[in-house]
Amino acid sequence: MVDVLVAEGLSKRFGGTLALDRVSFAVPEGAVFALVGANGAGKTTLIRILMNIARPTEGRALVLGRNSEGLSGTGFCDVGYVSENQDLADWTTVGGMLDYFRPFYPKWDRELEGRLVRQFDLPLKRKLKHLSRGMRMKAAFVSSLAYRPKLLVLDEPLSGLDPFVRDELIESLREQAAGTTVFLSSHDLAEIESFASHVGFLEDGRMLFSEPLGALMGRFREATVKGGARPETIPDAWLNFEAVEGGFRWIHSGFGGASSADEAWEVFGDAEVAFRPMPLRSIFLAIAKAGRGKRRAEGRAA
Amino acid sequence: MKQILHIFSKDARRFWPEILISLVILAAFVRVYPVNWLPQDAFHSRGFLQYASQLQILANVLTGLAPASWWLLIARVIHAEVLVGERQFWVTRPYEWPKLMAAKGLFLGVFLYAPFVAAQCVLLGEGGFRPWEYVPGILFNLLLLTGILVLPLVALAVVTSTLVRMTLTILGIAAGLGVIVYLASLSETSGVSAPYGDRYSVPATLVIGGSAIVLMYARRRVWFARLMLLSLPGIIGVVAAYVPNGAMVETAYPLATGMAAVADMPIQFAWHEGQEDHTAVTEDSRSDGVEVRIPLEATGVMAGEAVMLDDVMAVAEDGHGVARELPWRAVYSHYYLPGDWLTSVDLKMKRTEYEALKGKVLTLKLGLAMTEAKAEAVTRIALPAHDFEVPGFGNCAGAAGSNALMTNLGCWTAMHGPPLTYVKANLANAPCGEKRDVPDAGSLGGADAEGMHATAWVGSLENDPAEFGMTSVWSTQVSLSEGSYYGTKYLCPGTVVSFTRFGLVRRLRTVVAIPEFRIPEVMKGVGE
Repeated sequence: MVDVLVAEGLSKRFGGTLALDRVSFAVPEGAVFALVGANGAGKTTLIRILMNIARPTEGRALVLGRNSEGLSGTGFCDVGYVSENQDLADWTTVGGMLDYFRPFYPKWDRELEGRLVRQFDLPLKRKLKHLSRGMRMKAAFVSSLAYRPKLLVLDEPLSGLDPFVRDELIESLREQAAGTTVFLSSHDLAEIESFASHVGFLEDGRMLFSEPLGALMGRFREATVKGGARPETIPDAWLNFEAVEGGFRWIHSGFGGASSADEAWEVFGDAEVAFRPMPLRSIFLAIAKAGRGKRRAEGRAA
Repeated sequence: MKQILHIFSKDARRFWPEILISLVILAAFVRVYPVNWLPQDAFHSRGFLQYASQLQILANVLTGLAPASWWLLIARVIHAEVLVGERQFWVTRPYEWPKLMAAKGLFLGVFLYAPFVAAQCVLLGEGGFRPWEYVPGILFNLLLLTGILVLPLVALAVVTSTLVRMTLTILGIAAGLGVIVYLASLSETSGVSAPYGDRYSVPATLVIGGSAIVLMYARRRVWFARLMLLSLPGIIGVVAAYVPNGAMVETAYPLATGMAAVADMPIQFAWHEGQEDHTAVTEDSRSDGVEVRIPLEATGVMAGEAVMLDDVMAVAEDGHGVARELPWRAVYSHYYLPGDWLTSVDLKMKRTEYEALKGKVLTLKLGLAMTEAKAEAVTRIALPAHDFEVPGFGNCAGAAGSNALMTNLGCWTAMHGPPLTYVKANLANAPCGEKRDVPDAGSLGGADAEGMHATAWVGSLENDPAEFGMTSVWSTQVSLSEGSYYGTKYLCPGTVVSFTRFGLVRRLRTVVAIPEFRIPEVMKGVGE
């Protein structure tokens, strides 16, 4: 499968601040890649580099096989971009904006445009500056979906929207996902879980991992053990190890089924070990907590 | 091309109010500006003679408002696809930068340049000129408009994100220029009349400003482009610093050296003993310095020629070999025709320099930069009552319609001021219509009867196709002076007026040495 998006050692520095630190990942064709991370993790910076709005300090990104720094002009005929941080053509109406953008795209699908306008119940004659935030986002979606882009990049598209609008947008994304690779950033994990196929986690400018969502969900388990003594050394894959009433609890980040149970029995002896699947939200909270704990420990050591 | 027209039509629809404002202002300017040269009878026929003075004020206001409306137009159309920032919608759309830039150029071409050209043509027509005869001048004015106004405004627009920021930037630049002009005015070396003095500012603006614009559209390198634009005044300043006024004068006016060259001088300036008594020193209260007036004799101008003294400098050496140099500065209205002339040059010096040199026996070496011109055409016209054309010069108001003073001729020329012209007429002692004696103006340099012989020099030897301006028609007052301040004189219909047009022969420089020169005491009560 061809990779639609590739990042190779991307770094971005703003003065003394390292916003991105050697970020590498790949997004295969047809994937819905969710980039998650806390506020300030570097998600928007990464997307701006991918869209050639900003330039990397180091490394490079390939967008549809083309260096992102050369992405311009007709290169955007196959790329859609919607961001909460982007201005719209506020001087015109929704219909005026669509009329204006249409000739730029040879593959603009008027039927799809009409369907999306009806689906989103967009008022074509109203000026964009008079629309609510949700309506503006819908208008931006229509203007970026109607030409059936090969790649759709969405920067926090759902934040601040009411649940009804979110559902509408997610539904349209699901429909679109059949022929489009979607790369979106969000910190709304519950919604991502419902339609993302791949996920990448960005923390303090570093991509901690990037993999298919199924694989991620499969390798994370909340583990509990009843009885046993606190081990002297804790395996690297065990995150947030803590004592609880009558035993211990940790997050296993490399769950391998029976082998993980064997590993636990080796540590605790003949104890009762249980592994429970985790929702995406819990996985990221665990990762974030583990990261903070690690940094605190490094700080103490320093 | 399709994308260019698409963006252009979007901008035209969006900015119709700004377009309308600029067109209305330009139309009003074209309608009103001829008040600056049209004779009163023309206004009378238009029915607003009584508002002539108000219209002149309005014309001046509109002359400033038209560029201001263009500034608004440029800012709005460039900022429609703003190049600064990371939030603009269009950067992630299939805009091709050459086409975007071309669309903006097309917009300015249609709504700024085309109306400007039309305005130039209409004004030429109003002035009685045929526009098609001045196509090179109109194109040259467009080039100057681009280099002096449009391109700097576009360059500022591409490196700013909003009209407010652009306005603040312009105000900052204006304040900076004000400081520079003020500092320059303090310099005693300022103000030479050397031709070709500043031939690099407009080309430098075109090259650097144009590069910054292309760079912004192609790569949106904001700070790099800003640095380029900031470097522009620096480059111009550095060039000015390294090409000082003295060097400009000495380049433009080669020194005549050698026996043959000196003998071939178009004029001889000489200092004669006994002229010390005519040397005068007056206080210059504005600069806390003094002006030393040095009388000279000027002779040797050949028939059919004229010589203009343009710039003067001096080196004063005392007996101990210490030299003080007074830098080049312009002198004005020093025209010499065939004959013997008593003239003078004024040297400005600081009070401290004056005190240091006063009373000493000096060798004063005067550097004189001059222009030799040759009469190319003479037109004699019996002053008609109606407007009349002077071939190769321009058009002038007839005696009946002249809105000038009684001894002035109101004239107007196309694309620039008139060529260097010597105008002669004989003025009447009595009001027109009464019994009077009005002799013919006679030939160049000759003496005329009755002591009413009046002359005037107008125009310059600059030969650019156009002078930069909103207008394509330039008004000139030919102020005839007959050297007598007694009694009112009249320029009446039927008076023969001669216009002698001069062309450039060469520019050159000479040195007049005045041995054993003493600077006298300051004349009290003069020059205050």
